[in-house]
Amino acid sequence: MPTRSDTPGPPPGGPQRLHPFSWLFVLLQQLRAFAIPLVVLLVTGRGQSSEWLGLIGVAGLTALSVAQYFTYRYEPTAEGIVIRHGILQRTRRDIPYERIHTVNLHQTVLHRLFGVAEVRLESAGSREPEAVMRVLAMTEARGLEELVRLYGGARRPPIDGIADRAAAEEPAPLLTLGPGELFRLGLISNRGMAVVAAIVGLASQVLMESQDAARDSVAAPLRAFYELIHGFVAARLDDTAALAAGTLFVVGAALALVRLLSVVLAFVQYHGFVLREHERQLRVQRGLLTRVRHQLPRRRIQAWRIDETLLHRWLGRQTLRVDSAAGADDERGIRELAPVAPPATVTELLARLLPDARWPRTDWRPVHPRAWRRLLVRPFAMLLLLASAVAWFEGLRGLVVFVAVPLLVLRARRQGAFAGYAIDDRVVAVRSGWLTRRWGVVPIAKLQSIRVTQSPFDRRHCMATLWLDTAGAPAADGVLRIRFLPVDEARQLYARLVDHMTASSPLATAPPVPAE
Amino acid sequence: MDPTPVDAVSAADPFVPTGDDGWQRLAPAARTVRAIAGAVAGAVIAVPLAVVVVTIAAGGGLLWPLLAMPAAVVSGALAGAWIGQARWRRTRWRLDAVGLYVRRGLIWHTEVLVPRSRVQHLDVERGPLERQFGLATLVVHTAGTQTSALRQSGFDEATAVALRDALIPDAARHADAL
Repeated sequence: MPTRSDTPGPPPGGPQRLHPFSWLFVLLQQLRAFAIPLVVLLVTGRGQSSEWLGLIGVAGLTALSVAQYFTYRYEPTAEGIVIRHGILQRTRRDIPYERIHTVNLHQTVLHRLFGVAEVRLESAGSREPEAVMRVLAMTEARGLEELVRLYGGARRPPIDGIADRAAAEEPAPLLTLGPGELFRLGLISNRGMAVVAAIVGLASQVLMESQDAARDSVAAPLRAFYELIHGFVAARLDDTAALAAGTLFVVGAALALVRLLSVVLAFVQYHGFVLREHERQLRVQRGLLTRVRHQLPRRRIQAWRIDETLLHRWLGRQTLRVDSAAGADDERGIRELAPVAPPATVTELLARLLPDARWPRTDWRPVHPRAWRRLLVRPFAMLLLLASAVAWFEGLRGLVVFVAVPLLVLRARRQGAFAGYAIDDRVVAVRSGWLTRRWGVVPIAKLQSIRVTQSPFDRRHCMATLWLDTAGAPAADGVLRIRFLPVDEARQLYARLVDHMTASSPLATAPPVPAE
Repeated sequence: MDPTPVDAVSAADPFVPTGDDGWQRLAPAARTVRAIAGAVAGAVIAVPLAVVVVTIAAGGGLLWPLLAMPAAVVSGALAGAWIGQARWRRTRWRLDAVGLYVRRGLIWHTEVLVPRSRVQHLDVERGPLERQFGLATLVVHTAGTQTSALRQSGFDEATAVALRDALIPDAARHADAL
């Protein structure tokens, strides 16, 4: 860990190079792209010439990496960071401090051995990071982080004051996760499933790439295993109880294994999780092996989301996440302010970081009283399809499926009752769900556009949906919306949001208004 | 045809509100363009549909396909043209101090508002068919996720350009709500 005294002085420090070992990391990065073909090549071992080809390739890449090191310069100026790079085609990129939304420090185990970090500067909306510095010494990376923090704000401090401010201690953490919390996080999250999916995907890819040689050697034991299971099941097919017990055992074991994997992953990814607020900058650091460190100005947060699955509720926890315009995934920015925390802590965090949210709100307004009927339509359609499919094979026994009807009605009723919204001059909040509850809070100033839609079903029930579009809403969560609003209320809400949106925007000049 | 046709937006002063509350129609020429585009799309969709129906229903014979194909193409084109012009009729737009409003949708009704302060940049596009009729498509980009681009075709070229100029983000504006 570097001490705070080695942060840089005033920014105009002339062009600087990356860490002397950066070529090694560039090389590794490039080699990773060829990792799978390389492994396949080694496994299948076809021909002697391929080894020579590989060697030549690696030598070429090494030369390129070294050349890249010698041609990459970055220069912190008073306005922003200037990066010049390129071997044949030279590129100069100016990144103003106020455009940098997040600063990400990424450290794998190897990075940590060398005391370096990969630094990524993210601006709003770009698919790629604005700049990737592979790699900087840890002290310099921290210095850059400080620089962006100090210069990225609206008020720029005098240059001679930086050293004192930078020398200040890191503030006390807002949230840390101990082993108990990590264990809960593992239980709640379904990361294990992602790993299983990744393994299956990788395996299939390897199988595809090495058509003949690998398939037999990998598939043969699998087939043997399948035959074993199949034989076991076939022999006891008449013994229903044994079959049921066996199935239960296999499914239970698989589930337990996945959860165990999830817990292990939670420890690997979230070990040493710390959330800090440093003069309106949020900083998150986490990771056991690969350590990541993100920095995000508070004002860059577009929307706040709270999730509470059934598992969360049983363990008395919630998850607090934020959307930011830069980097919609975990790798590229802060997504989770509190991966797992008691509701009281989440409330405290929100109260501190977004006082306008006035969390927990008591002014929830319900949606249309007939919303639950709309919520029944899709499950009923699915149920009918399922019932007809089962009836096709099983005859009248297919009607058994309809025992699910009361459950679906209960679900729709509960969802309809919980769905709601709250609005004041500064924020809109939306909630939905039943077993899994979700809340979303958007400062009205962060709304990008408003959309009201009415489907034919909406029109029949005099309802409408209000879409609250913000920047950086991840695809998995989607844009926040208020469904099943009574149409008059939707109109009022729309008008109110329009008022507040324009009131909160600093529109200095009068726009051309239609002449009467 | 619509019983109360709304006047075309005059090129000289495109922001004169012609409706009761400033809601305006797209250019009249756009109705023709929409109908043509709808007719082409309808005819293209109708052909494979007709093939499927004829093979299932007729089960051989040459006369039926010979009669059915032109009929399918014509009716598909007619339906497409009608839908195209109906969508034109449903589409209204309005520009005021707050921003640009667009109302559209035949079955799924939508109203979108992009406030002036949220406009990131603007495009005016002119396709080959649009150029023939002196029309243009306006694309309003925001930083949002869903409405990252509000695309509306069927403006007079002059209107599209005037709208673009009216919506150009203020250079002095620093707070882009991001």
